Amino acid sequence: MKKLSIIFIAFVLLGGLSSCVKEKLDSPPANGTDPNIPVNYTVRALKARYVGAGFEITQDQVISAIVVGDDKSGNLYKQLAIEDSTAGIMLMIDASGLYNMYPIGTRLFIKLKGMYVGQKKGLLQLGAYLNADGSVGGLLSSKTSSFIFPGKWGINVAPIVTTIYNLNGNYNALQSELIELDNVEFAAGSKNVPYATGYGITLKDCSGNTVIVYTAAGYATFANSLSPSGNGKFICIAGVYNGPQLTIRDTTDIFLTGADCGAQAGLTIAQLRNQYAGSPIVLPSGTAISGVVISDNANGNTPGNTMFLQDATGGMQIHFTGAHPFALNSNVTVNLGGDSLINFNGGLVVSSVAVGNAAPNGGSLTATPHTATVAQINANSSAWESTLVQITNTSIGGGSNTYGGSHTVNDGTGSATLLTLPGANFASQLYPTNSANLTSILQQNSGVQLVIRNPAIDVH
Amino acid sequence: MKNFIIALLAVGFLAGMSSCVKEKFTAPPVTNTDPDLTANATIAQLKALYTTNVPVQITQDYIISAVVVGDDRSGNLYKSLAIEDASGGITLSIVGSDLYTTMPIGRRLFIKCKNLYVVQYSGMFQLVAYVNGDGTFGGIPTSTETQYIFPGKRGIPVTPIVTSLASITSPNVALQSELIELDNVEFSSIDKNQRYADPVNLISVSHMLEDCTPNRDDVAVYTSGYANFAGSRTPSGNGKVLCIYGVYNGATQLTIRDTTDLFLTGPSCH
Repeated sequence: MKKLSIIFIAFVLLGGLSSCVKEKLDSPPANGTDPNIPVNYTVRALKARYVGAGFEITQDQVISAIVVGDDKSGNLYKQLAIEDSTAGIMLMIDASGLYNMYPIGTRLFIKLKGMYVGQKKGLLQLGAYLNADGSVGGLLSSKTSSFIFPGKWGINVAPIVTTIYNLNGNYNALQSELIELDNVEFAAGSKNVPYATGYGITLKDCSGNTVIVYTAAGYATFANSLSPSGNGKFICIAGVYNGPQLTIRDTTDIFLTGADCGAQAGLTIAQLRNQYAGSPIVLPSGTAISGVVISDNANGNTPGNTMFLQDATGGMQIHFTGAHPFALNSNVTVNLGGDSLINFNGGLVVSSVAVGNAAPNGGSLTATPHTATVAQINANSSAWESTLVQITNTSIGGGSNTYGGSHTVNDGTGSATLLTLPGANFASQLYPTNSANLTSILQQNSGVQLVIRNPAIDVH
Repeated sequence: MKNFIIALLAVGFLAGMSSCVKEKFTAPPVTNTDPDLTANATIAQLKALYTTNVPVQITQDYIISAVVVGDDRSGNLYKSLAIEDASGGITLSIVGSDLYTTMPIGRRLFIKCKNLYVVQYSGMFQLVAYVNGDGTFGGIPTSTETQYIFPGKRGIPVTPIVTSLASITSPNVALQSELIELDNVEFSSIDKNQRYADPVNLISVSHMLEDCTPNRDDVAVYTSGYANFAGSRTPSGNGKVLCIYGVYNGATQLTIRDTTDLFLTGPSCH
């Protein structure tokens, strides 16, 4: 697990380093032509030269960067967020209606000589001169043609997918870039309020990480629109104002339509199962279920990475990324945010859950099985899937006379398969030849399959 | 230039004529006439003398005519007056207190500038009386004040120069010591409902005034711990601000004359 984390972190770091501006291949080809101006500098190098004080660029340096945020909605004002494959910066132009000449997706070639880099409340700016407070004044529109040379337009820039947690730690590196946050929502008090409320409204993830989204009243066309209350994807410009601050380009960048964290926390297992509508879904962060472990990891009849969890409403099969330590009858909460709810051989499974996302609630519980005939079990196999079922006075037969392998359970009302893994430590035990009371986990595995935990507790 | 002099003479003549009009006095009676002087220079010309970043003594027989736009009544200005003419403003440094009793806001001053110095204090132009060997300088002593300063008419209305925070983020030499008006501004979130300064420990404090643009342009409003309103709290609303424009070490710094200069009663834009 630790290794995995390290690998993951390494990926994130590499991602940060390359942070490529990907041009989607499936999007329409860019229009226009690029000017014949050799590019010899990067935004990242330019940003790196800012060390506490603004400066004039005196070298013949040229960057090429794509507009990722313009002033069409009015939420960016006299500035354009531009980024190349290395970083982003705010280009200051003392004019309105910039989106007419430099709309989102336009590649700009910028001759930096004679321009200035400064900073306002932590936001690095590229413009015409330094103000007394260290910020940068915008290029006059009469001067833009000396510095800014628009090239191709219609270039689709993929946002950098990140998290609020990562953004809060790296907002200087990410600033003025287009970013995407997933599984986020507005915090309580920031839902269903005008975007331009106070000094910004709060966006959060289900783990409680937060960041400010600032919209200026009287400028953004959507300033008075109400913020959505759901959870989902949020695309924006990573801004800085004494710390990270997000700038929405327009409300079309916001896809907060899913169930919010509150709805996902303390979900019953039945509610979780009901979210599956025929195709795999990635569960929103904050999704969590609690229940009693009905599988027995000590006796080997369930794979070490698999847990069956039952609450009063139903049961769920969970596949961890490694062996989990939770014994039979443990009272456990499992955080499933970001994991997938899938159909696995006919049964619902939450897959690829990190073991660290499960935590004991203390104590142990005993799940109550559905006491039923085999016919009833077959009839309710979907509703009772992954829960305990108890059959009274049934025969066990077929196959060898030991538990290992596949056998048939028949109580006179119908029959079902009883499966014991060869690795189970009771696989070589003889099963009773007379009728027995049998408790087992009802599994859907290309049909109904009954799985006992161990004979000592399940076969009488 | 010739036309300009003629115009000046005409203005002087008219001023002289109007000075004959009697005006009502409130006790104690004060003069409300302009002295028999004619301005022959502007504040901009005085500032232009300062070319090498060292104090410059005025050797010409320059006379300026300027109106007091900021006095020391509230204590936020101290031993100085902000004066302006049509060309610009400058801080007149006088070694004295309660200057407002004789030279209140709205009073025209004729100043014989010869032998005074034009200096900069932290970037701010001042008219002073002497420069010490160590580079420090001193205001006009009250003992010699009457040699230089000839107060004239009172109650002259001064129209503030309407500008915006975005326009004054960078220092503007011409605006120095002038009365300006900013509209649709408010104190920043952390500067609302705060004491202007610390009247107990006599510590000066700056609060940021910001506009409502997405970029939130902002500049500092500086208040002396000696101001009689230092212990009052800044308003939280939005509206108009009148203030004296200044700079301090390259950064814009605004000075309100009193809390009556603030009309921040509208709803915040946040």
